[in-house]
Amino acid sequence: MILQGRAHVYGDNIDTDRIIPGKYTKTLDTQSLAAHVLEDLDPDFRLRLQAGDILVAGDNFGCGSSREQAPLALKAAGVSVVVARYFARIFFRNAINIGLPVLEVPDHNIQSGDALEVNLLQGTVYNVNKKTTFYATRMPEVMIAIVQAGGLVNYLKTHGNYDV
Amino acid sequence: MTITEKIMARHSGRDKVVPGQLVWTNIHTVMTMDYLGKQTFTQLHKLGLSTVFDKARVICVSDHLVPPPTPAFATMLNEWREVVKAHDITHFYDLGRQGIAHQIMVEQGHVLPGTISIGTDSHANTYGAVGAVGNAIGVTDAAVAMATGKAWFRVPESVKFHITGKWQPWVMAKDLSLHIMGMMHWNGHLIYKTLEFDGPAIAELDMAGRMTLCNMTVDLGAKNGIIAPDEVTRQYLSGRAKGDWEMIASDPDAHYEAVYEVDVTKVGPTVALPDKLDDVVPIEKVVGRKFNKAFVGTCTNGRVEDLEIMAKILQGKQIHRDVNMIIVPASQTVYLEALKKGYLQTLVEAGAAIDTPSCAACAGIHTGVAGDGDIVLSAGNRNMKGRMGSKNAQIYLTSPAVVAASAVRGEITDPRTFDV
Repeated sequence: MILQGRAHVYGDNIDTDRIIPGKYTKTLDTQSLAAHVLEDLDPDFRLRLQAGDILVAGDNFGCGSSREQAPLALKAAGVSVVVARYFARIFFRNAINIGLPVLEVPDHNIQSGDALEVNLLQGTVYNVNKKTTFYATRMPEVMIAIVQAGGLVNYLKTHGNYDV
Repeated sequence: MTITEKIMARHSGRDKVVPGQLVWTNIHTVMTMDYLGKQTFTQLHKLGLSTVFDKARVICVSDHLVPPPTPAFATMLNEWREVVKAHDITHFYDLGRQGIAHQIMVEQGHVLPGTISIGTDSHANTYGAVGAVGNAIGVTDAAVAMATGKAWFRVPESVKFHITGKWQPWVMAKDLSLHIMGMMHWNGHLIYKTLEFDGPAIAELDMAGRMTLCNMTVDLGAKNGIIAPDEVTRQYLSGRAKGDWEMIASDPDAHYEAVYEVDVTKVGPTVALPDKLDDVVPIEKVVGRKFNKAFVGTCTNGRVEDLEIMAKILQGKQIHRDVNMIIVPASQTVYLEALKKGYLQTLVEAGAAIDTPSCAACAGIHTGVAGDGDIVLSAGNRNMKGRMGSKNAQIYLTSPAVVAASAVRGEITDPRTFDV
């Protein structure tokens, strides 16, 4: 599973309120969530985002509430994968459960606008502009399978069992 | 194995698990609440299912939206009630019998030592206070658990906090919690980990304090916080536990990724400065700072013991004219007990407003929210910009004792220097 897109780089401790403010979370309607994604952090994010682009962040991405709308809003807006130094755990599992790939890359020199190629199975991020490869903490295969199925609901419908 | 590993092994049908392993475990209870509950049931229906695995083990609570302040919230609540009733859920704590879900889960005995309970709100870590694995999950996880009685977990590495020494007067579990926040910072070391608390100072801690401590482990980034059951637990659960349970503890040779020791004798009243939870200082550094809103409640500090210490401090005193104080008991049960014990009378006489049990302003969507320029001294759990409403408000976090003493003077006050 190779994902290509341009990087949008943000900092540390981006909480779920900044990913999608609480006032918009009364719904799982993906389009209205997508319309407000990251709007308090960067009002122009939506305008610059192209489908398939990659969000890159620092430490503790997605800390705060357990709202599943946070990964859902990113996915619906067109983000193909989130790369961060590390994720807050509820965001991490919610992202997998709704089918948004998440990759932990402890160190990188990615800047906004860089073209990236992410290989989920190998756990690598290739920076096309800088011609450098970064290695990610590899996701267990079952997690990749859940992401590839489009989330836990689809995964269970297809597989029908809980073997991990 | 540590207590968390033992619980995960037991409920995934294994003799042994190791950190990093992925397991599907049996879930004792699944909690969902008004704010995300309808979405949870919607996800359940997407699985093609119309029934839950056990109607008595899916716990539904109205806490974020009650009583509804807007027609939109009232409508959401009506839709929520409709779906809960359609599923014939046994335990539905709706307005009139409500409370903050995490308080309800523990206080009503829906969480048992040695089991795993999950909820669609981040502070489900609270359940560790009675020796359960309490874990926060999203609506999809909750729906799958409601359908199957199972959830997937990565077995977490265990980190131990061994707490020694003697609790000083007016120092509360919240101070220890904030102290640990300042000690560990959000540096990622505790992400995905289980935090186990033990030691003589934990043995002395009442259930309210244990709940505060476990509650805020989520804000340290941990998967769960846990305190092994003991005599305090047994007494607390007597007459409450909805089911049988056994004592469980970590093995003497259990492996911990790290062990930290904290001497609580050296922990005084502690404050987190606005905007960042790990920006923590001893109270001496901020004494004298002015604020205009005081807030005590939430799943962190809205229990009878919290109201008791406030009543002791505010007995015969008046809250400063420049401070508005809102107190929100964590549940109807807490409300009634505080009423019977006279705490609410003392607090109202001092000039505090008592609100209906709910999450209130903590999540910034309900009564008592902060506006531009407000400086809030809160006994809640989060202080990010905009958390309680306006992005242009500042939130200090501290214990109920500090809030009470400070409210009288209208400036941050060390309760140890306050004439009670």
